[in-house]
Amino acid sequence: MFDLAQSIAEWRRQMLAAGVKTPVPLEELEGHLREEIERQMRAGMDAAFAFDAAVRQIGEPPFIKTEFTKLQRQANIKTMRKMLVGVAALAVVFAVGLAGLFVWAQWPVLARQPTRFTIAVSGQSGLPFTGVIKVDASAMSVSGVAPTNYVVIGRAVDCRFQKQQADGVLGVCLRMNYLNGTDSVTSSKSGRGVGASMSLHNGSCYSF
Amino acid sequence: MIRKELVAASAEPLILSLLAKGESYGYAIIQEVKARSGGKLQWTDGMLYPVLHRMEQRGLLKSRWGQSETGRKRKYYSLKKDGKTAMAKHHEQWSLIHSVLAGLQKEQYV
Repeated sequence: MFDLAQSIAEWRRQMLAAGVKTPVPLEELEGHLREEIERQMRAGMDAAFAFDAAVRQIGEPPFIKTEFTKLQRQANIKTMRKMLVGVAALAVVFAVGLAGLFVWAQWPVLARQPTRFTIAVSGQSGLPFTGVIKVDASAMSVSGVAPTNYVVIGRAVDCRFQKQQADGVLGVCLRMNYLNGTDSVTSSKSGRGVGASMSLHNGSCYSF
Repeated sequence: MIRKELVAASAEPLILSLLAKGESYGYAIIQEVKARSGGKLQWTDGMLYPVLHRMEQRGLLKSRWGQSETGRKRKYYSLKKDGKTAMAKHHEQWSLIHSVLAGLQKEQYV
């Protein structure tokens, strides 16, 4: 005795075994199968013949699977292309960003424009010092007590500071445009002073 | 019977043109194509669904799950904007082929 429900269940099992996925497209295909069976039966065909005809009409499971595999392959290629484009775009953005950052940081050097230098005289609080700050071609004498900061604009800076008493340690740190800085240096206790020089291209610190 | 290459090539423009009349589902699309072609355009029913899904992936169609009058689940498809554009292109190209063929056929009878 033909059992339509059991035959449809067996058809589903074969579809799943062939790799046709559920719910999509298997639910859609099953709906189609059932509508075709009903149409055939309304036309006077018995259930067994209607089922066989509908199954033939819809296609064998391996055929269906092959068609959907092609579709999946195309979707995968499309996804991979999108990912590649995304990675390439990210790489370009990263490279442009990096180049921008470099140009921004090095702009004074690249453009050879006067830039801001910060001279930080540090050391024992209240230690008196005198010094000379040379900015490009002009020099000025300064005096004060540590700690003190000087801000100058130019292309090259050279500065020397000398402590006014034997005891105490004096230090200097010279920075350009907040980014490039010389290493700070401190005088030895018995030393007389510290100096630093920096241009748009290089810098150095020394003690004497 | 129409050659399978031509059947495959005509699937997309036919689906787009049928859906231009309103949303529909796989089984109804196949039945309408059969009826309109007098049964001469026969699709293997299972072939239609990969085509519909591919068109959906390409952004030509959109779909939604609905229910038949008997409560059975059905997936309804309808045209998206890109689908309408694609349909217009298909019509233009198929009309061109048709006019070339018709012209050549006419010349043979002169």
